[in-house]
Amino acid sequence: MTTAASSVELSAIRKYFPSNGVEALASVNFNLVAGEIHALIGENGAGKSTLMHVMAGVVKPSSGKISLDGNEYSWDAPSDALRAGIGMVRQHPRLVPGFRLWEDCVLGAEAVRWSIMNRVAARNRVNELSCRWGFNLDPDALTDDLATSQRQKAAILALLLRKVRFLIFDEPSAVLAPAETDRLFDLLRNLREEGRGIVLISHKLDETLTIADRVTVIRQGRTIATLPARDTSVDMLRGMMFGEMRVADKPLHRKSTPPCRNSRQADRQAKAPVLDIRSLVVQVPGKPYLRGINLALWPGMIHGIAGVRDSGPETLELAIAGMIPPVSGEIEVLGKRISGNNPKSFRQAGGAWVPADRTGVALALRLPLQDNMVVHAVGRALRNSIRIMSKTNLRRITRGILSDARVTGDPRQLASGFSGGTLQRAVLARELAENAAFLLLSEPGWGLDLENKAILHHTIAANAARGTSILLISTDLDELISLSDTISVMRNGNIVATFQVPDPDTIHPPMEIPALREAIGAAMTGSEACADVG
Amino acid sequence: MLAEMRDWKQDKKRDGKGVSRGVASGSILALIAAVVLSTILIALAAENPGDALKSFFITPWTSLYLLGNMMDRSGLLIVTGLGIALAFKGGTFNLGGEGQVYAGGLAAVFVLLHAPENLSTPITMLAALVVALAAGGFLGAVSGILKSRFGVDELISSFLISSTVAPIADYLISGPLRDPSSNLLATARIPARLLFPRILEPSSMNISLVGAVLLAFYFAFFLTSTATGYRIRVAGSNPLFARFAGFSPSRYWMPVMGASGALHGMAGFFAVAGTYGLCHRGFSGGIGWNGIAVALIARNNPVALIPAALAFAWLETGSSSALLSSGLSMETGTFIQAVVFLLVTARLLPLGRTFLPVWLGGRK
Repeated sequence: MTTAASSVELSAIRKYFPSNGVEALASVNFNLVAGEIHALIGENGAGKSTLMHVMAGVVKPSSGKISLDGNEYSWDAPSDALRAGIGMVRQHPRLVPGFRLWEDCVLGAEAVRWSIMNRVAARNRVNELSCRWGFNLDPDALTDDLATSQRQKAAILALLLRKVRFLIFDEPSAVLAPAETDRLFDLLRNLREEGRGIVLISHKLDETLTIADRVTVIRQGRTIATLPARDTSVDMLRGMMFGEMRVADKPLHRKSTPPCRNSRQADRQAKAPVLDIRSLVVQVPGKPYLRGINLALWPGMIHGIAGVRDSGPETLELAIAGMIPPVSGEIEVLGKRISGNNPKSFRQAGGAWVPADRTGVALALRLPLQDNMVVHAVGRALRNSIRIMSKTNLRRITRGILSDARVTGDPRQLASGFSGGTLQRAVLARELAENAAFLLLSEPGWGLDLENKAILHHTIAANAARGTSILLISTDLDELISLSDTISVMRNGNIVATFQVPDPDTIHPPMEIPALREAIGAAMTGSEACADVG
Repeated sequence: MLAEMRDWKQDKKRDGKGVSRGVASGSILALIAAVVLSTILIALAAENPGDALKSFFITPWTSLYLLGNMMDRSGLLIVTGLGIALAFKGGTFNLGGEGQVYAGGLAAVFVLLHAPENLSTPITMLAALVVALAAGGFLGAVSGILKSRFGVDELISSFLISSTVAPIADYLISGPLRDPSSNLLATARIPARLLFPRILEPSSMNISLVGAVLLAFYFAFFLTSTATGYRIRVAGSNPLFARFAGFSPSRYWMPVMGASGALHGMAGFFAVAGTYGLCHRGFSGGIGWNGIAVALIARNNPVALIPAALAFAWLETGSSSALLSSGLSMETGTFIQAVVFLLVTARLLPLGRTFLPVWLGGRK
């Protein structure tokens, strides 16, 4: 479809988000040529998605240049990029509910004459394209009834309909079954044959190497390298992705409050586990499945959960908290059974929870911050059948939590008026103030700057030393390794490996940490046999 | 894929502080705009604009009769506005206000007319109140149950139920319950001893206004200072947050809708036993709908309902007074009220933030 070799060139792209003070991209160069599949890889938070959002016009870069076929462009909205021929297929494409498939595909690109859309022609066009690419889609199917793989195809169709020359795929295979992935990759190859340029974001290095022509690795918002795929290997890429040992650069907060690990290990057999999960299976639509999880958390331990996005940790978190029902299996917290779909049972068992979805689950943004802080205190007041709450009492509780969280500002203001990092500290402080015996922490360091992160890590370690048991779900490997006693790695809804973290002080020399990092990375991306380390 | 773009655009709009202040000033601005537009409409339509404007702005405050009627009207609007606000705080919408007011008023009249003569006044009034609360509350609670049990949208169901109730009540008033000795399509008059004492004769203002104001303060206290009120707000504000904290948001849907309906029923009782002294066909006209507008102006804040209801009642009274004094057509009055309603519901937020001074929540 293209005659001259065309290309998209992103040069020296920098993106700074003033709202949370994060520099997602420091300086990235990336170029995509028509007729190639270009893999973009990097750790979580390395900036892959932001970079692609810049390319697709979703995010405006703070500085840098985007040029297409040598002409410089600046996009205000995704529609501008689409018009220029660049489109993105998201992992979970959102289609208009209640629309037929063909209606969704042509939406925004309808062939219109005298403001009347030729419905028959539009439907036929979609059907034709779908048949030509072997999609096997029913153009009249309701978007609500489509499976994830079909939704992806619908999103691809919508792009093809607009004659998009450059397609960006954001981790498309993470939500697909292996057979579906094969079909998707065949499609990508066909698109390449047609002369379109394709960017493939993926965490699965081995399968990426089978299809990509070139690979670009980014780390911490910088381009590390762009190489022909045939000159690289999985190990080499992993080394570039995770970089040199960053753990050694910063102090390990565990050291400041040395937990008496040996005694804890000695008496763990005598005690019952704080969290006991037995063959847990969860299948909730729209969330990654869990396919038989077994996990035990012992008193006073910090157990880390690692895994790439959509491999299951987020589902595990919701299931433990009782937000979603399991198909089978059991979860016990402090000896009490968590009944599915009833978060109350989790609270009653004595758990506290910092969810990954802070603003959606842990806060009511439209209520004043104070009302957000006293939610557990009010629950206790109700249990003790105190129906009227004293204002001074609530203010005292709020002040206590907010001073722990080092939050200044008027708590009578709506929660939505505070920054993400501030709210994060407030939620953490509120949950820690519960003095629960079991803490479920998901991405606790999200949105925090280095100093606050250090304070947080110190607090977590101190809580564990006092006997609190913590399940720590994090995509930040450094955080996991520096805090956890043991780390389980999830992949595809299973726990595929569990590692003992070597103690930097005593038992093991610190040299083993890089090896551990490597091993965890390997288990996450699933390209090597996983052996227990340590 | 367009859906994605729309989400993205909304995200971009959403980040920004001072939203609450902007919204509050939006309400005030809407009121001001409503007044300005009404003024222009009257000035254009009236034969003698000077007189018409005087009777729009001044007369409602100088004529004791109009002032009393205006106060009485605002009392009713406070109660229905409370019903709307309460439903909204609990995460539901009650669009069936009209029918609930109608049902409550009719039920109350039935009790007041058929109570035994020897029953003391307070007890009869109390019985009528309870029946009115029950009638309105039942209609609201049905929507609440349908929502929590079957996932039926309460906005639709409450509206439909209310629309069903109206013709039934019309039939009862013009049929079995009609006073045959009168020419009106209305029930018999309620005995004088069973009416709320008037405050400002000959206007319809009566002591139920005091009840309405006290109720507003009670609900302000209930929502902010009781554990149940707090949970209702949490459940209404973010159901997931309610679940996170360990309680079920759907548990509050039925009680909140029931209470909202009961408040509307109470407004019906106030209207028949205070304002009208009987129940005529379609007496609930506007009390229910305008309660929504009042709740919108007050941003569902119970205490703010008092000035909001007063402002709305003034616009109503002023426009009808201008109508009477200057021979404006009936349609002009209806038109003005429609404009007011539209402006108040639109709230003029985006415009407000661009043109307002910063201290009123304008954009820097």
